[in-house]
Amino acid sequence: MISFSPFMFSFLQAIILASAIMAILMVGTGQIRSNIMFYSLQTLCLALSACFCAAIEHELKHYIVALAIFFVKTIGLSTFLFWITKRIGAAKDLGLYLPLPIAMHLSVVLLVFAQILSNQLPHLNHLQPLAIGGTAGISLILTGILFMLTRRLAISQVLGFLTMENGIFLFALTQSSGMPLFIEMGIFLDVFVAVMISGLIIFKIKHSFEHIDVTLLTSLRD
Amino acid sequence: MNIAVYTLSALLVPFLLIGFVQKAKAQLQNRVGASVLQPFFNIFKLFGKNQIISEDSSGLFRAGILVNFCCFAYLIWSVPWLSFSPAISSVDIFLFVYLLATARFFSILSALDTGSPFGAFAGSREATLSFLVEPAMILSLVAPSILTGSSSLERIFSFTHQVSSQNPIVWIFAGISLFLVALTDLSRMPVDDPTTHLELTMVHEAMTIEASGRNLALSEIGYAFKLAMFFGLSVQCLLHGIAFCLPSDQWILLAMSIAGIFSLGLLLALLETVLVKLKWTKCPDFIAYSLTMGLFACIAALGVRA
Amino acid sequence: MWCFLTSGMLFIASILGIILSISSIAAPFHYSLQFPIYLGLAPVEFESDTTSSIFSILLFGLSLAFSIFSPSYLANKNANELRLFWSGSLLFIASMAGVLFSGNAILFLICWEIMSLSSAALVASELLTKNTAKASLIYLSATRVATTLLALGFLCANNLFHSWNFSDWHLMRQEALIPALLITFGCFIKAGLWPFHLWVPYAYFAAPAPVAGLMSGVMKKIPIFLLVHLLCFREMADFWIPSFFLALGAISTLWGMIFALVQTDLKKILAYSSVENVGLIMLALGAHLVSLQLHVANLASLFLVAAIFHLFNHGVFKSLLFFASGSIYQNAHSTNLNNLGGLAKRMPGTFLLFLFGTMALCSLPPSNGFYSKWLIYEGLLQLVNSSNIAVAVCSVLLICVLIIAGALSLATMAKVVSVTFLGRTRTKLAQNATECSEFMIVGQGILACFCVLLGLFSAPICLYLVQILKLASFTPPSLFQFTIFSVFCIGIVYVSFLKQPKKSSIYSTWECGFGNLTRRMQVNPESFSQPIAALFSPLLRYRIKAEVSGKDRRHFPEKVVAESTTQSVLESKIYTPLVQAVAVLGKHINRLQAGSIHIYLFYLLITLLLLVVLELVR
Repeated sequence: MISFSPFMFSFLQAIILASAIMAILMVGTGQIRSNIMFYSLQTLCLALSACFCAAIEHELKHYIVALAIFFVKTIGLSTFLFWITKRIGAAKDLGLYLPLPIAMHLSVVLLVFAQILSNQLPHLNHLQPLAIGGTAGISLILTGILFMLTRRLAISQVLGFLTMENGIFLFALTQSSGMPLFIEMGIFLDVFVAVMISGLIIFKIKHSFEHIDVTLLTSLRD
Repeated sequence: MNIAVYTLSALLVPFLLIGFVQKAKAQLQNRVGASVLQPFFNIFKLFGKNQIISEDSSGLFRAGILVNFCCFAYLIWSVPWLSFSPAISSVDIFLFVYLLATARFFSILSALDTGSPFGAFAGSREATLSFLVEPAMILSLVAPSILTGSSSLERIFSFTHQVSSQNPIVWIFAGISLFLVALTDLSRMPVDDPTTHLELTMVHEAMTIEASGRNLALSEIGYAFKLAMFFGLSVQCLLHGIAFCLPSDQWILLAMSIAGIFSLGLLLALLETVLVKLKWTKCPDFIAYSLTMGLFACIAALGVRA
Repeated sequence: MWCFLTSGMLFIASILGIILSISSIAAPFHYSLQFPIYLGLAPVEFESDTTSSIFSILLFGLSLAFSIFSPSYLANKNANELRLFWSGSLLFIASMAGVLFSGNAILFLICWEIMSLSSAALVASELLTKNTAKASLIYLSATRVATTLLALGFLCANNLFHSWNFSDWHLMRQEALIPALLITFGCFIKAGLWPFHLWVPYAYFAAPAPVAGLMSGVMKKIPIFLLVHLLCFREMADFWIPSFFLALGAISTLWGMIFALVQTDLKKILAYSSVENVGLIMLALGAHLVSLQLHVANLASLFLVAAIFHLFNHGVFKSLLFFASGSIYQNAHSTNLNNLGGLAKRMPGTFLLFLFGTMALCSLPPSNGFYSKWLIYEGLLQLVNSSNIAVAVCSVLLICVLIIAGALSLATMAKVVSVTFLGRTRTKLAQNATECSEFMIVGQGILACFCVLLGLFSAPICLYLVQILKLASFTPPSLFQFTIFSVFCIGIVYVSFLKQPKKSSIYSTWECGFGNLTRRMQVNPESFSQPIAALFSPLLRYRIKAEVSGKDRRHFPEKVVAESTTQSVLESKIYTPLVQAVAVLGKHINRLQAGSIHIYLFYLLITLLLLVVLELVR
């Protein structure tokens, strides 16, 4: 355990919060390209905070995880999603139930709710400054759900799901010094494969229905 | 000494800023552009020109433009948009917002006084924009006032209160929010294009469409004051955000805030080069981001207090 | 002739009333009629305290302007209408004074009832020329419900405290929650707060303009008087009532302004804006109660003073605007904004006075309306700084709500002023409008003077209120520097008006080279408010029906028809089904009254038997 200056700690807190804020800003726009950009910024913040955590706790596995996040999520998934968007020609999500700005303000309220919730939780981690990670993690999960709720397109559903997954990762990272490396890597593989498969499915849906609006798929229930 | 420097900067910075933005924009678009001093020449020219007044207008047309000008002249003297204490008096945050509203009310009325359909379009849009932007404006001012426990703008931006660890977040969010508010409220690029040739799409320029000569000069001066004031306040917020690594010498601070204002001007020119004007119905989506920033600032400030 | 006599008498009575109320601040009076008239449960007694004196200054000040304004307004009415108007309004004013000075609950209720009935009669007074029957019925049923709730509340309170005197009631206690709630909601209905505001636009639209001014200026404030009298100054035991005040106040502030924005009738706009202002006052009272619970005495007194001062201001400027709408109606024969326009040149005096009222309504800085709103803002900001986190979050939200309502009121009033007074006239009817008579100008001018005086001396007045209400002291913010500035500003305007610049020419409005602009090419009220209304379209049920017809529909259509409609959700979804349900129920209950004497005897028998059984069981 090396001694970390308080300035570095507040920097780490700022990065952790920034990932939650990027997710919230993602809710506010219907442009799929900006959504993916916000998602990739959000995972960049995540990778940076994993890196910091590794430096604090002197654990090699966090470095590996950070690298994996950076290459798989920040670069790989974002490029893949950009490519799909371009291929199927989905530029914009019109939104569902709520106007998107209102959904964004609602997710700010959810951030406050997450703060209240994480104050109630017992601190699993010995590092007090990392308590903010709990708030950010819960907020990411809630924001992801809200994002999925207020969107029509299948590709937005994938983005919302990925945001939720980020939230779970951040929560685990900051509250209990991360999961074992094998599980972490397994999740990565799962997420990667899931996104690939859903990308393929989106292609298929687009191919056979001429659209990817999930609200119009209700007649498939039988 | 202070008063002299303040007067000088209040008279110079707003117009130089407008000239600077125009010049930078021209350079970014591979044009030569007019001189930085062009706004001064424009205003002198307008003061000498013949003024045309519509036959349908009542006396309110000129009175409205004058009231609009007076409000901004008062504000530039009493709002701490530089790191200096202002010359006349201190303004409360609510008085600040309501003075802006007064100026807006009278400029809308004078736009509508001539019975021109263009002015009326612009007035209606201006009212809509102000309705969308005012909550963000007040939130980004309330957040620092929660931190400092005072509602007077002078005391909020006074560089004397102690810096706690989380304060930078509040100040920076407030600064970003104010900048976004300024873009909307000054009818700059993503919301309104000040250089389009079509009156139907403009907000601020179409409101002054019937003004000419001295009346136009007054409303242009008011606009310059407003621009400098908003950018100045936003720079003050950002400077407070990094106050822990700033020197305390007031001349350096003054130089930094003026430099900050001009770099925001550069950013504006860059934005106006890169961005396109949003469709009118998409503007609320953009303005929502400034409100979100204001909300973040307020939440952070409440968190610091709690 | 007798009309002028009556108004002269009202004028003298109002001046006497003002003198009486000012003197009663220093020396409160108590006067009771013992022997010949006795109300059965309580004596006829009148007493004054500080709050009732303050309210009665407002009442008599407005009735002073009313007495000057009304005779000219009624110039072309026939004798029957005049008789109804004057008897009704004298009774109305007298009963309001009675309510303010009544010493006990019974007398209060009687005066309250006279007030409601006389105002309902006045609302219906233009029955022959306008269709006012529906408005009057809606108003009547609302005030009946209010009276019922109040009477129930008074009975419960009497049961608890065994007295009819207001001074013996302690409604802030835990056990008095039910009467306190009943009285609060009765007052909310009468004051026209959010879910109960439905009668307001109907009644004010139908009532003659001066009466509408009195109704919104004073009568709406009487329930607030009762609430201040019974609930304020003391710490409530539970948080229910303060949170009702805050929530309903905030909702009506927003709701009132959103609906005001899309109206096209001047009087309806003013009516909805008074829903907003009552919401603001209730919000301030709620904040007063909350800060009493938090034991912040100076904040509590700030909010109470802000509420009372705003109530005073609203009374003055709203009746000024209603009076002005009356003079517009008399001269341009309409209050529908679509028929007006260009009145600034035809009625310059009314225009100037209307502008004063508008500035106060939008709470623009030098005016009195700004100061009271400013006090509320300052108080809310201090509430953020000095209390627990829930209250802090709520007050930040309330600041946002007030700012939004302020921006909406600015948009609304910009629309009203510009469409009514600026540009060109939209119809021939308004083209022949001339300035109203001197008496009407003087009547409005008195109110405008009150506005200016209240604005100039706002800080001293608030300090005086603190002193006479015996509250904890606070330092009110000062508009002194700003007032100097605005005088300076007015000076500049004046000078520049005197000095017409040499190089100036008059020309037609810019029309893109299209040719002459017709009067139909100006903005109309619907199109001005469309951008904001479209944002609130789910709430307003805002629809635009556009129809383009002709051969070449894209570039040269022969006919374009566009129409926007709004609908009140509350009215169509809640009140209409409710009224229908009551009507159906009434039909069934109606069967009980069969008209046969035997059945009535049967009811009697059953009632007797029931009573006997009840007594035996006890």
